Amino acid sequence: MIFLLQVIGFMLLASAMHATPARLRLARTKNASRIARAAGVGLLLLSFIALMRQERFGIALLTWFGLATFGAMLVLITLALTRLGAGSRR
Amino acid sequence: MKVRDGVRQTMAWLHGWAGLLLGWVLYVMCLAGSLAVFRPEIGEWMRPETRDRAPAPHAIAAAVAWLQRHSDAPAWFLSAPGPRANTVEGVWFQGLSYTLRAFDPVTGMPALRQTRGGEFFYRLHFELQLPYPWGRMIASMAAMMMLVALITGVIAHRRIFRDFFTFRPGRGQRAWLDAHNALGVFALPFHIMITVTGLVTLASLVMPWGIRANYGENSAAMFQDLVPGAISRPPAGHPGKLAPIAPMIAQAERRFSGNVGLVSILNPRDAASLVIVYQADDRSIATSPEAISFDGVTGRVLADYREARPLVKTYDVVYGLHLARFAGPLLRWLYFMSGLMLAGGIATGLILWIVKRREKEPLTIGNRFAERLNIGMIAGAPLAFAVFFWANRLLPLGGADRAGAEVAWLYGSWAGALAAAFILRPRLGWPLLSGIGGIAWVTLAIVDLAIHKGATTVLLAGDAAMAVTGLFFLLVALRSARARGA
Repeated sequence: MIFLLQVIGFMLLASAMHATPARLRLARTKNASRIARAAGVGLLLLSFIALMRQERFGIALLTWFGLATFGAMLVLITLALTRLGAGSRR
Repeated sequence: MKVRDGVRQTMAWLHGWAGLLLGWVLYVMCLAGSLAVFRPEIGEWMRPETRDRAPAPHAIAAAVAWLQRHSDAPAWFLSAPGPRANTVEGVWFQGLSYTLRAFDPVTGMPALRQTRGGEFFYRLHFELQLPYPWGRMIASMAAMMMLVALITGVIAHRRIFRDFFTFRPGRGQRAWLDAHNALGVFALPFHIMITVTGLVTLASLVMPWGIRANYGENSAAMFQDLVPGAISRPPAGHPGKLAPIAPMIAQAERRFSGNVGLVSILNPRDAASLVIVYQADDRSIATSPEAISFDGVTGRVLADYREARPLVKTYDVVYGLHLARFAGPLLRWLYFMSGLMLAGGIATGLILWIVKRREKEPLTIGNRFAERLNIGMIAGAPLAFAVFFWANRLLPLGGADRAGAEVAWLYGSWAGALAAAFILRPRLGWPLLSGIGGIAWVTLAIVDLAIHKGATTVLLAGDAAMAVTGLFFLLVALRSARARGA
């Protein structure tokens, strides 16, 4: 659940970034980008709060960073594969 | 703007050289350190016949009974079994040489399959198989380089947030840079934490002046101050009989309200023998220096200390963060994978160094040497580690130094991989060594699964991890065979 929150959070952040190809961006306008960014950060914060309720602070912090690393990695790989797929179709 | 760009360029230059100079050492340290997270589990995987479990007091008493019959060493150091380890691991010294044995927790007999197990990777991580203090010195210098590389890498990375999710595979140098950035940036908090805490653990070696100013050459006095619960005293000079040890361990467990870790028995055949029981480090992030000293002959408590000094506790947290003995299964895997990401970041950085230069002009002799070293280390080290585990399964049980033979197999195969890397052309060396490594890991997992049928969780998880590792290296071999030399 926490990992899912992080992955969705990172997806929202990625969707608001200029480096992400335009057709993969959910948020294409400036306003939508701002909302996506805020929602992404909000979900990441939420995932940390959820973890804090389960674990002691130190363990929660370490686990959060560890999970976030692989959540971000998952989004990166998904984007890379989508890019590759689009490249080979062209 | 120009000044900022100049600073970035300088940082990029420093990042490159800091990463290159000790990059290969750092790569091996990271691989070994990642494996060391599973030190007890690797030990259990490598001793598949020893599956029994027993409470610590019984297991230690059984091992001590064997030692009383077979060892006249002046001190025995025994790691108690716990939730993650089923054997008692004992070390004892005779002069400068030492013996390491794992004991069956029920019978107290040395385990059938003697191996260094996970202890090998733990030691390799910071001692690099070199005599004291050289290995630790080099490891410490490498960690310093790592810290420099991390800081300069962050400064040099112009678009750290803008390129956060950017990975463009199949684009040569750009792809390697993206991979290097992703592996470095995603786990950056972990990389910084593990590097800084690693440096602190070896700080007394590289910056010994504070200790020297206070204690001179008397390191025993410093240890006494650090761990007041562990006392020392000279031998009485006449024989004494060790009291039953199980009640002492049980008493320590009650006092710690948890597991015991190390049990040191000093001068076990002397009238002034000592039994020192340390608390296990699995309860909180901080390692625990708490210990109880018992009189070996009477079993009476001589010292019992509860740590309350803030500075010592701070150090214990820093040290504990690096060792991760407190970590549950999830956090342990996260440490392991983040450690591998650091190794991956170093490997991609080393490859990038070559790719970048090759795109500009033919490689110089020095860079050609670095390219071959890349192959021999990046592909060769995992292959050699696979051979270590194969040796564990193939070498006959018993023998004079079976555990040492496993290590010899590892270094022999590593030397072979390095030789192949220098003899073969890189476009052949990369796929060949990665492919052999991949096959070695996958077949090991299959063979072990067929023989032991994943009888325990540790065996099953170990086999699965090896299979995944093998598939990864097979994929690397396939990709590097397709590419025209990396």
